[in-house]
Amino acid sequence: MNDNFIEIKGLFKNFGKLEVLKGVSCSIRKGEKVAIIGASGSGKSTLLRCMNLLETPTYGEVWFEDKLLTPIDPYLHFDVIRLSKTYGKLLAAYTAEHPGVAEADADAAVIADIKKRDLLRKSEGSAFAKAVRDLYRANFQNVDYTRRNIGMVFQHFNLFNNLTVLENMTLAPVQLKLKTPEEAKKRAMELLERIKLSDKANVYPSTLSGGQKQRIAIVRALAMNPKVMLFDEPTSALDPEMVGEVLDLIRQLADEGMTMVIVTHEMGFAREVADRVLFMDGGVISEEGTPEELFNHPQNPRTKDFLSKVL
Amino acid sequence: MSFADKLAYAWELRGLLFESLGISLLIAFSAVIIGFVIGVILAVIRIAPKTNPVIKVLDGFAQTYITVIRGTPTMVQLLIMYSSILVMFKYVNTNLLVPIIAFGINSGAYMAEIIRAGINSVDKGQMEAGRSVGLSWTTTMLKIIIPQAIKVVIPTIFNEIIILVKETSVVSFIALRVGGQQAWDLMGLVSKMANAKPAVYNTFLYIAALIYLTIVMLLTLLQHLIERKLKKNER
Ligand SMILES: Nc1ncnc2c1ncn2[C@@H]1O[C@H](COP(=O)(O)OP(=O)(O)OP(=O)(O)O)[C@@H](O)[C@H]1O
Ligand SMILES: [Mg+2]
Repeated sequence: MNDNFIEIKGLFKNFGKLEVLKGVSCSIRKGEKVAIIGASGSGKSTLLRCMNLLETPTYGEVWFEDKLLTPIDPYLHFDVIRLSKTYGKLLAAYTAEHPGVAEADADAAVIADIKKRDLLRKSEGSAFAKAVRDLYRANFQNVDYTRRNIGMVFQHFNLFNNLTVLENMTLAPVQLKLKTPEEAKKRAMELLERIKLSDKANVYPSTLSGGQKQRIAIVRALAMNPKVMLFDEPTSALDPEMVGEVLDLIRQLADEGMTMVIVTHEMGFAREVADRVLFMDGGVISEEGTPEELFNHPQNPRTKDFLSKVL
Repeated sequence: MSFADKLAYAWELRGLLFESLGISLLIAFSAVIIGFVIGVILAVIRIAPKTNPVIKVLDGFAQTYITVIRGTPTMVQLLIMYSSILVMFKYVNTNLLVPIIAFGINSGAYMAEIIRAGINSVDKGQMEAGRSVGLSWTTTMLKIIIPQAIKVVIPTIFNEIIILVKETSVVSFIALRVGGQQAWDLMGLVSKMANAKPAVYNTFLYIAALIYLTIVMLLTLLQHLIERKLKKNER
């Protein structure tokens, strides 16, 4: 056990030929509020969507509370690499070429070579296959199950159009048998009360304003009692006068100790709410730090450049 | 024969007329139900993520089915069904099952494409929202996507139903039996008149046209009622 909710290890994501994420590793600690900033197209949304597997990573692993959501990426497990046929062959060749080389050095060189040249194939022998399988079996958790613990709020709200506000909030808890219909309704009404929209319980989403939709989307996620909330630019589709009400609600959640990851263009809000800010550039996290460090003393020229444009 | 006489003759045969109308409607509406069920299943298979080999095989089947059915005339399908089933189960051809299954299979291919287009028209964010709260692909499909897709496709589905109701008239080319007795669908009865009593053939043609027109108007009315009801569900 460690105190991370989400761990991203060596994540790559390609859309066809387009490489969007090029090796991202990061963790989200319990209680932490992390903001992700960066230019348009830098891969912020893709990274966030990989955290609950709405996007399937091309390489790398995603872990939630020490449970694996993706297949095993053998490149991340040296013990496993060492069991492969390729490793055996390359190690023999390497030691023959470099007589008297230290064992550890040969090992490191071969592993680096295998990773760099992407040499692992399907047919790496039964010991390798078994190790991958065992590791997977020991750690895997069904992603639908995990997603119950990860609330997600989208830029375009994505309320279920065919359901009333109340049904939007009770569908998942009831379908997944986490609550009886009565319990789910009671909880939903409490949450609607909290955002002062209980009079909207029985209307359909099409009749709501953008700000109302987004606040309902947030409490719909809360109705599942998630451990983490992911926000993908929750205010960028809103008319300016509605941004405040949504940010207020997110701020309240932060104050209550909710763990959250928020992709945002609202730099002021990121600075105020976040414990840690990740700056993404060209598919990698190119700088990270506290808001003070990142906004006031950026080290990376790309960060400076980006901030000078948006601040 | 005067026009009044022809009408009187038709009135005398009203029992037969209603019976044939009943047969036409029974074939059409049973086929619509079968077609709709087949259509939903095929559409969902076509749309499902192709992650496992079973889905891939089913998808291949669905594609072939849709291509073959849409690529051959209904009449040919009906006659193939008629002759094949005649061969396979000697007596089954004597009831309405043959045309019902034939038209159901036929309509299924068209419904599949209609429903698939409807599902594709639903915003991708709806599926993502469903998955993000922990619902499975299937549950999200059933509770969120398909209800919204159906609403979009109601006009097109009714179009298909209307075409089907009229197209069942080609069933007059095969001999039907109900309860061991020879029976006719509406057009079958009209064709029979052409031989049995040529003088009233024209009158029966017009009567058949009027009956079809009435059915289609009723269907259109039903469509509008459903559309209005669904719209009301939005406010
Ligand atoms: N489903 C997809 N298929 C193909 N390309 C995609 C897909 N999703 C994202 N991309 C591409 O990946 C790149 C990164 O997209 P992403 O949405 O992660 O950027 P972002 O940092 O969130 O940008 P923005 O600030 O504009 O939201 C973009 O070039 C985008 O066009
Ligand atoms: Mg984005």
